[in-house]
Amino acid sequence: MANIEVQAVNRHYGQVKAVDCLTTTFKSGKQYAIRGSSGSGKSTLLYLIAGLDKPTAGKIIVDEKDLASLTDESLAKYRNRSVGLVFQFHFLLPSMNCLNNILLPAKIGNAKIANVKENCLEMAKALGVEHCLNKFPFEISGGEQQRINIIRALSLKPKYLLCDEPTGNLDSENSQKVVTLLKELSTAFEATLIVVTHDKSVAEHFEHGLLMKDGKVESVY
Amino acid sequence: MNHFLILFKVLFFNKASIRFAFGVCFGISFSIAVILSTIGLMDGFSEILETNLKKSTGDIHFISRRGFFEVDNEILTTFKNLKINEYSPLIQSEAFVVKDNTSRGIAIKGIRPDSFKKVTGINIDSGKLSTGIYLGKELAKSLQVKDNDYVVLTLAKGNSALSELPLLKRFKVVGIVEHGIYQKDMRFAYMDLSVLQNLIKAKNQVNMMVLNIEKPIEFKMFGIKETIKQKLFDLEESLGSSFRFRPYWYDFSHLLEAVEHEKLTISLILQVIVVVSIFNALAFIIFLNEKRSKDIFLFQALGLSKKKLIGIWVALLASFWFVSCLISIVWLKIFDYALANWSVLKLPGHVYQLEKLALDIKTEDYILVFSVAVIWMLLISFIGLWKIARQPLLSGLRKEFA
Repeated sequence: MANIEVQAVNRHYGQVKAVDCLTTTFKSGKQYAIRGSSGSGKSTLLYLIAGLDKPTAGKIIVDEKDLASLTDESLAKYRNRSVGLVFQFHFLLPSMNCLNNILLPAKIGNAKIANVKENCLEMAKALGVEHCLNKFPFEISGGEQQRINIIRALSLKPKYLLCDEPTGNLDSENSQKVVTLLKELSTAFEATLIVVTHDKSVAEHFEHGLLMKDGKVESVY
Repeated sequence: MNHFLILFKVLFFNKASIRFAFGVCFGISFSIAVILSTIGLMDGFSEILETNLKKSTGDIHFISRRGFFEVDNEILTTFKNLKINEYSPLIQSEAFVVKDNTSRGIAIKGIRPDSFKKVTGINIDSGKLSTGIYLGKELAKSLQVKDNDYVVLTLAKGNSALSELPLLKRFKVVGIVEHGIYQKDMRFAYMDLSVLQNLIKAKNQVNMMVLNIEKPIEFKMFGIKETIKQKLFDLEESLGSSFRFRPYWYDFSHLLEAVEHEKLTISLILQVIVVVSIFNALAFIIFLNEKRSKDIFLFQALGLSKKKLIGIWVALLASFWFVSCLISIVWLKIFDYALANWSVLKLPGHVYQLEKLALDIKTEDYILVFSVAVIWMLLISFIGLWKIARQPLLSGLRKEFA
């Protein structure tokens, strides 16, 4: 199983050093929290790992490949097949029902819809949102929307489940539920889970973690 | 293909986008239709003018360098050798036609109706013609005469008797003839050849012949003009020392040439409206890109590559172009109908020679105009698409999902 190797990575926006000479490793199948205050560079690091951005210096080695060296097409394929993204605002397209929202990555990646659909239906059943599948996003609650969002992220069984403040707008009870759910699902899918959060109580649920400040790793646990 | 359909569905989810798209197609199709109509009108004008010219003179007409002549063996043998089977001798002479207090200078033609009809298609009844004269439609209108009215013709008395007084003779109007060209309808009158020969004492002689050439099988492919030009050359080679040969378009060649030049110039000028309407297409893409940016960035985050995204925009542009081309054909049908039926679009015949116009748009005109439109579209949109391709994904995501 491949690790994610972050090797002396910089991501500078002009004078602003969002990520500054950062080196770390995320071991395959493990669960990590990246914690830090606003502007510490934690989300930037997550997006660099997700292939949504490229470092200004250094390397991010995933599956023994430097993400910076991948073509636009290969990087898009990596995002589609290897990465599951969960955003703070579980953005679901209002023009399609929840099932179609879930199947969006499969359709973008031209995957076999029937197989993906079967897996997603099982997940929906397990997460208690089976009744939401034929509804439009505006017809379901925020919590249900988030679970749909998580199913979408896991629909293609990604190797890496990357979450940016997944509990950012939830109360502590729901936050705990979501974190537990993410951990259980990533274990079930044998996916590496990386959760970015500013919330110490959320980060404490994770066995491994990084604490970031000013674009650098302040501590690793 | 899935991602194409889904993103299309997402992009056109709201009514504003659909309305904007309809407006863009409306604009492009209208501008394409305007150019095609211009070309069609010019070609239609040339086509109708040429058809009507042929109708009055056949493919080729010729006159003798020495005035009157007899249709002798040399001429007939040449025709036989050149496979010219349709010909008609005639006399064309200047005259005045008088009705009450009105007189008009005209060209009176003495014809043999049967052979003349074969060459020109003008249907003049030989039985009726032996008892009177046919007048051109506009001439009859200006003299306010109808069938069975009488007019007086003033003719020179014989081709070599200029010193004598002109001959005045009363004729019954036995028919009205239409050439489709104002000038000819206003100037031409017909009588039987033998009657005119007797009047001007030109027994067995004529001063003009009209003829049709034999149409080759590949006639439609190469066009009639080239074939006629070749036949003119052959006739000049055989009879050129005694006769002057003219193709049917000779009298209006400058006008036809001017129309060709105008067609090119106007088509180039009208490209401006195509360009303007295509800017609307670009504006639509920028509008969608802004309005649906959240969706587009999400698609990219979920694995849609820039290449595929650009492919979708290009497909959208291509759809606009295709739909616009189809709608432009509907516009053309409407224009054509209006030309044929709306009196306000009737041409003043004394200025344009023809009263009515019809669009004559050839397949190559469609191909040319549609191709130029798609080239403009790609050129103009290239800048917009290039800008979209350069938009950083992360900053877009942060902006939209913050």
